[in-house]
Amino acid sequence: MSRRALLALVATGLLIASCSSSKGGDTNGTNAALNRDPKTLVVAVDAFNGDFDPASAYLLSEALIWRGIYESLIRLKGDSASEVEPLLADTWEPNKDASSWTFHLHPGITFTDGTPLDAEAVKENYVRTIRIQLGTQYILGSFLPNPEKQIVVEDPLTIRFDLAYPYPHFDVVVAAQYGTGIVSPKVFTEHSTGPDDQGHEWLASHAIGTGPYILDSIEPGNQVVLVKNPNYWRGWDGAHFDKVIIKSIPDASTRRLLLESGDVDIAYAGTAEDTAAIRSDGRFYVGDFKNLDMTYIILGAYGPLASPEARQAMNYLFPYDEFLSTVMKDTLERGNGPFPDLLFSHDPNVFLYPTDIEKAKQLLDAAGVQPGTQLTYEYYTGFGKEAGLVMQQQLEKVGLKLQLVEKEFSAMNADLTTDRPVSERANMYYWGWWPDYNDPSDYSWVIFNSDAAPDKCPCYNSGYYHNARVDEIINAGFSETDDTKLTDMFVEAQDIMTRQDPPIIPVGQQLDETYFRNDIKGQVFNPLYILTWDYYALYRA
Amino acid sequence: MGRLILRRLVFMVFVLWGVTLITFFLARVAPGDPARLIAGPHANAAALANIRRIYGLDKPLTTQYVRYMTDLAHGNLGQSFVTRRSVVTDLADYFPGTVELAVSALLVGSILGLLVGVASAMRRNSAVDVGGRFLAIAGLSMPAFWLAMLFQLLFYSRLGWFPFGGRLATGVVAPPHVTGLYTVDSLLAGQWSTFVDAVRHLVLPVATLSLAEIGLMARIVRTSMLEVLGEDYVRTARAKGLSGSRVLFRHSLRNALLPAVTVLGLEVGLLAGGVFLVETIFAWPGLGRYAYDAIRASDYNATMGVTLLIALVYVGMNLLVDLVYLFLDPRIRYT
Amino acid sequence: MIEATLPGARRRPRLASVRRFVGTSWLNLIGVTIVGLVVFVAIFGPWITPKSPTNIDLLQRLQPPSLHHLFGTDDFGRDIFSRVLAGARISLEVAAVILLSSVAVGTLLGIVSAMVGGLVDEIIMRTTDLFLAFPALILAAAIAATLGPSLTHTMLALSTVYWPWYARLARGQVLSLREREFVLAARVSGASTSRIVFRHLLRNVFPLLIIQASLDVGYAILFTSSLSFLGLGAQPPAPEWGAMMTDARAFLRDYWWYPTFPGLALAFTVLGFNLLGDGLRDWLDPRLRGSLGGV
Repeated sequence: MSRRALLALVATGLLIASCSSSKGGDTNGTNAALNRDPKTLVVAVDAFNGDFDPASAYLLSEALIWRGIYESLIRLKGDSASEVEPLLADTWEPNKDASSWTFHLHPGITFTDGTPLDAEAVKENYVRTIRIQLGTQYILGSFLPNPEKQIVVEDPLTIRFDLAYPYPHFDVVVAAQYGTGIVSPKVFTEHSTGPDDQGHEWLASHAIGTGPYILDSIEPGNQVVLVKNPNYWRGWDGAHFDKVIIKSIPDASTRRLLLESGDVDIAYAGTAEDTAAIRSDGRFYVGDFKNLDMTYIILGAYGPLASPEARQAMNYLFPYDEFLSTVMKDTLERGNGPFPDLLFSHDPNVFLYPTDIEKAKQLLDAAGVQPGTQLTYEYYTGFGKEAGLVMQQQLEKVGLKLQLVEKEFSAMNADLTTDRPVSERANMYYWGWWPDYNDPSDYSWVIFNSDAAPDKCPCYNSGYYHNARVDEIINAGFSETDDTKLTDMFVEAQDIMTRQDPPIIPVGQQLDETYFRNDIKGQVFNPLYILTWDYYALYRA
Repeated sequence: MGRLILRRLVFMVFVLWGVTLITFFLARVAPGDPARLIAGPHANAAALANIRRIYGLDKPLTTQYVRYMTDLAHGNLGQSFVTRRSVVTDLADYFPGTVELAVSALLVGSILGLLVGVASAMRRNSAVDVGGRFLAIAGLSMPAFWLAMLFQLLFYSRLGWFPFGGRLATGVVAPPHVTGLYTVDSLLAGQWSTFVDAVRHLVLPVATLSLAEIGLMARIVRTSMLEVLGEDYVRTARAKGLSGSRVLFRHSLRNALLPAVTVLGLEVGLLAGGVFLVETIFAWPGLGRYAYDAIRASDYNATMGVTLLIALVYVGMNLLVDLVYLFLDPRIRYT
Repeated sequence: MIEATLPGARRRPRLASVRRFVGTSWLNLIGVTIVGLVVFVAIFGPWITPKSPTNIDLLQRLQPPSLHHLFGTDDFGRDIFSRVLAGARISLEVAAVILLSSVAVGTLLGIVSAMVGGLVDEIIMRTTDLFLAFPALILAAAIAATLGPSLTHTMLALSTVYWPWYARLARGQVLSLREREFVLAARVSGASTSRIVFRHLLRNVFPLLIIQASLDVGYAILFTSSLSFLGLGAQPPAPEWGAMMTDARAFLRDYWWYPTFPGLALAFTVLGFNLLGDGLRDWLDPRLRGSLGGV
């Protein structure tokens, strides 16, 4: 005991001594030590969830696993948000007015259970995804409201989608990350507990796809192991990993320590300080890739923030420049309106709120918000506390109080999508969103359309935002084939959602700051395949 | 004695029943909609209604409780909403990790605590005693989470002496499952390197956990040793000219160990709290981390299951301690 | 469990005995000094903190310790020294509320249990068994999470966990006092039960429980901080030590002062109270039960 306890005391002393001396670690070497199997890729993320049902899996924490397991017909090419390339389908073509699209499947592909991948299997998947309504049905379903009829199997290797209306960019929809994965159709019957299920329950912890990796084991809250699919149709020539281990490490500083000591190859970013330190450490590289990921504060259009003026005032209060440069150290770029600036139809001249306390005060007076009113701000562990504290101080300047409420991710996720009486809702939620494919309607509907408020559907218009004109534009946008008209409409919508009736405070546009070991090659960032990795493309040099 | 054990067992069942009552009540008054959690965030109203029906959430609380207890009697703790697996499976997965951690900490803590306690008592009011007492109290006063952070930084990050996070190094395959304790299983399988790896992973969390155990044990041992040393028979032994070590081992220690046994029950309680904090920090896949995740995510079934299991172990340990005590000192009769 | 049977409560500490207590052991002196310091800071904190503990200054983020910021600044540019000082008051207040409410509830139920006896006694005692069957931290975490994370709920949760200890102690005391001369005398002279309870029992039982509670202050502080560290207690921007360490965790790697000082403050405070408690226990009544740390 005495020695051990002494050690603890010494530890404190040493800690102080050692920490003040060294900083940043060894930056001369090109790689951190690697005392493990070089053919195994180890990634550390903040959390993962087991959901391998493409009809319901709509979270990053799920996609980062099955991106190695499931494939779609085509996919986005390289770092492009609009160009596509073949995957399960070799070729495809629209008809003249882009109302009907035909895809030709690559021959000879099988699922890992031996079931052949044919047009029938694709149809069965997409009909199920659209019909079973577990969350991702809108992505393809907006174009295929009657999928049994609209999806046509021409022959075993040819499938045709007859869209409800012409859409010239349907290829990027099929290439979307969510809602397009293809599972062995055997699962839907063999593991079904009923028509509401069709294998959903089973797919919570099992997956059978066509992809390069197979789900080997999943230990919730600990790690997932993927092993290579020996019969993968694109083969195993060239450099690839044999095994992928995904670890759940919620604590950011621990992820960084694991990376630095060589225990992991790829780690989700931590604090802005961590990112700065990793960036200057020669053993690693940082993504710094700008994508379509918007980070914002949802403003509840009820209670004290019911009036547009009150929500404008909140936009005037946020200290954008100070917050982004000091707290976020430019890992987040100033949000240019409610749309990420790579999104199709984004208006580069959109109104930007300056930080203006006086203006905010006037607007709050006009809105009749009494000084001393208490607002609540909800965020989940590890995401949004900083902005909350800053907002708390800003609100204090105009005589309002802000109570911060921290939730665990899944609890907050449930809060956002559950209909509750006004008294049980937070007034602000720190959240982020990106489109499934590069389309303003797809991006906006789930977060701004009044039909996507929790009382109508379990979606993410969690502020119960309702603006008739914005609704109209979003709905019309789905079927608008004229790109110029579409842009004009959405420029108007963006103006409404900033200057007049803001649903959110657009805090910033997230950069992908994932940390990589130098010897990990093959990484290509894509603005829509956000924070997930093409495990097959990665290798160790 | 048989009657006594029976009484204690009946009492144990009663306590566990009460535990289910409390956890069930806690789970059901909590804000949040269990159906929503089960269904996932994207389910529509029809799916929600369906889940309420399937899980009986549309029934009155008493009916739900009866249903829960019926399932429990069949060894079914329901499904975790977060991991989407049966709670029993989850618990079976995470239990060995915690047992391995807790037993190691208990062993290290008890042995070192005993030594410190004895040393303190033998040299009462000397520098050894004051130092020993100070360290015992310091051990009990150290915030485990703070200590864990310091250890992590110093011994893992700075010095690189010990690994951190998980029970085995990444890529090391777990030994064939026999007991679920990696140290034991690896030895059984003759996998020496796996054993070393498992032990190395245990060092930091066990060091963090055992400090408080040492403190608790040392304090009790010291007090009871002092009492025993003051008793007539010890003084007689000394007066007869028996050597110090002989007095210590033949007469004092054996009698002083009795209260130390009772402390074991308390130590388990202390460990349960410590494990909760330490597993969370050391990313240790055990019940503590599972409980933390479940509580944070309002994962009712998982929370109830894990609390029930911990209470079961705790009550069971205390029963065991009572029986051992009874065995060691037959004069005692419980009323 | 060992229940106190000696009326240690009737000893009235006087200044001379305080001096004697401190003189008994170095540890007592250290304990008294630390506790004195913490109490002083808790009372006079607002007057001696150099800066506001909650004021954000983003241009002064993560500054190392200096004359200007003795303990450095945190990730919002707040002065850690001021926050650590302000944390003392929060910890003591919370501990006081938890222990006083547990003592109040415990005393009440303990006396009722002992005086009424029979079924009521059985129900109350079995309830305490039930609560004591949970490892305290886990039960408290479950309660705090159910109620929603806040410092108030932490206090409620910990009181729920602690009262059974005091109820048992109070019951044991009453049972032994009941047969003593002054109670018997009062009874013979025809005093009513309520009069006996208030005039004689409460006066004798309550101080003992208060002493016991004072021995438990250290653990109450430690538990509160543990819950805050887990995100179930104090919410931002409260400068609670456990909560500060949660925030500091992300900055552990490069900004050593951030986790170190709140942790040291917490460790020293708990140590001080435990040293004092341990010394007091030895000095007043070696047979007072072991403390809540063992729960």
